[in-house]
Amino acid sequence: MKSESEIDNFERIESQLKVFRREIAGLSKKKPNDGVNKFKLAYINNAIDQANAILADQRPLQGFEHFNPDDVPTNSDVAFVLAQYTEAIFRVRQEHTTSHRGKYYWIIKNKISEYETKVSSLFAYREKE
Amino acid sequence: MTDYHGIPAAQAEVDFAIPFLDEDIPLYVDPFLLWASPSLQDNSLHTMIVNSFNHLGHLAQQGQFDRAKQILISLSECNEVGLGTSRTRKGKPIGDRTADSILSLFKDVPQYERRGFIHFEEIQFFVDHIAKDRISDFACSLLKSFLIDYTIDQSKKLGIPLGKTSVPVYDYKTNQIVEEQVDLPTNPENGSAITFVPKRWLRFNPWLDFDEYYTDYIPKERIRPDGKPERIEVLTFNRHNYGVVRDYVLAKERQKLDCHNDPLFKQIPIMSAKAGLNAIRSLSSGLADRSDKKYEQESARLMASLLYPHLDFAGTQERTDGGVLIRDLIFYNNRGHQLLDDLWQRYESRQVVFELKNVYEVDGGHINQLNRYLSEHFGRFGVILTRRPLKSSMMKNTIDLWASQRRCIIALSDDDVELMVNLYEGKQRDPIDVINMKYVEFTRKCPS
Repeated sequence: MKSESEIDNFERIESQLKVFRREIAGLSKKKPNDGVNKFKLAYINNAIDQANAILADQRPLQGFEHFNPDDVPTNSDVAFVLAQYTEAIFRVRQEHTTSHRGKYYWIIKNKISEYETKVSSLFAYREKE
Repeated sequence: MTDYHGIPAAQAEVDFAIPFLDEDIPLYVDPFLLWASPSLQDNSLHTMIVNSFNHLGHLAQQGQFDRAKQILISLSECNEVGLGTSRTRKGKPIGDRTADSILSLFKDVPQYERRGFIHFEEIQFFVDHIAKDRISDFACSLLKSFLIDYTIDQSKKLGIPLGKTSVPVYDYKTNQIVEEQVDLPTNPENGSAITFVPKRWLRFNPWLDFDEYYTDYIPKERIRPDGKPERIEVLTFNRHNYGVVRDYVLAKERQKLDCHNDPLFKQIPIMSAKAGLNAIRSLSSGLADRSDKKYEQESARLMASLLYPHLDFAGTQERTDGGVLIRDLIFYNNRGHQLLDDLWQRYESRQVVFELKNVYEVDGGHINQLNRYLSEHFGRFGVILTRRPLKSSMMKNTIDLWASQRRCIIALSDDDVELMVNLYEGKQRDPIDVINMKYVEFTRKCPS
């Protein structure tokens, strides 16, 4: 991470992806083969684009940029991709945070910053918040 | 009709029932809908119909029976609206005896003699040969002056061409039928005038319905103690027992909030769509056990609903190509979706044809059959509805057709139809998006 504002942006995307994943996972359980509507897909694509920028060469799915609404992705397709992205983003958090004297801090420009956070495991995806 | 003029109007979006040029629409104007309508305009038109009708009774009572009869006969057919079951858009007026029988009600039933009708469709309970088609024709004839203005207005909105024509119109002020020169859409086949009818006035069966009255309201045992009474016996009974008819009409008036127009097209329920898909899935490919015929029936039912309202189903058709029987589904392209607009502009598809191929594998011959047909009748876009996805060599075949002749042929398999049914059930996306998906998939493969 390069700055505190970049971290704020990261946390926003991280949170969005988890909410989307939870929502779509719920739909996918009920109707895995139903299409995701274009409205939701536009927001999911936006979050994925921003996650791609954060992940750079650590993208979870080679060759995948984002969903094409014309391809009618189903709930299970979208749930699968969001699961990959939330895990990849979680790994970024693990790599960029560390503990120091019992507290957790972000690593900014390869140095422990004073920007406090919590233990990574608290940010892992859970089916129910 | 809009299809003939190349006007992209979806039936679901326009206010009137789009007429066919060569046959009637199997729906009828129900005057009760005008009476029950929340619109003051509809209520006024209903009053106008009833007043005009009662005026005929007045004429008959005043010694002008023959004049009343002539007007009544003239009002009994309204070919311009094209409603009913005629295959030719032409009907026959009522005969002298039926007209006599109608006018005699103003003498035989004291209530009608005193105050006239409130719902003129009650004549069906007293006169033989009067049913929903005739009621609808009387109403349309009496409303024709309004319908002409309405048609001109709607035609101008949509850009439907108008032509000078002469039509008989009932003049409310003079209570006569006069020939009027008006600008109306005309049938290009024979030049006859066409008027539109608002969808909100149409029902398959009138709200005051003889069949319902017969089944649920008449005291059958009083009319014929030893069995079911004949229609004519019921009509005679009614003439002498007006109270029974009045009670039925009052009961129906109390239920007026339940009286709605019938849609021109009703989509099948989700359960039925799933059952249709399962039926297709269970069919064997080929001709065994008339599988091809069953495939056509189920596909037509399913596709007409899945693609509504974006594509209006025109019908199925059978044709032969080189001695082979081919079944098609035809849809009107009303450009109600981005994809359809694209197909209209790029491929001149005013109608979209789905060729049904209940075969194990689509081969080059099948693709060429559709290609030849596209050349002759439709734009340059067609769909092959078949059981399995195209093999890569056949996919290449369709791409080659695009490269050489700018034709676009896509194939929908059982899996695609299943996805369409899923979307139909989920309501998150439109089933037509699956066709768009296949189309986009196809265009991506085309050489740039």
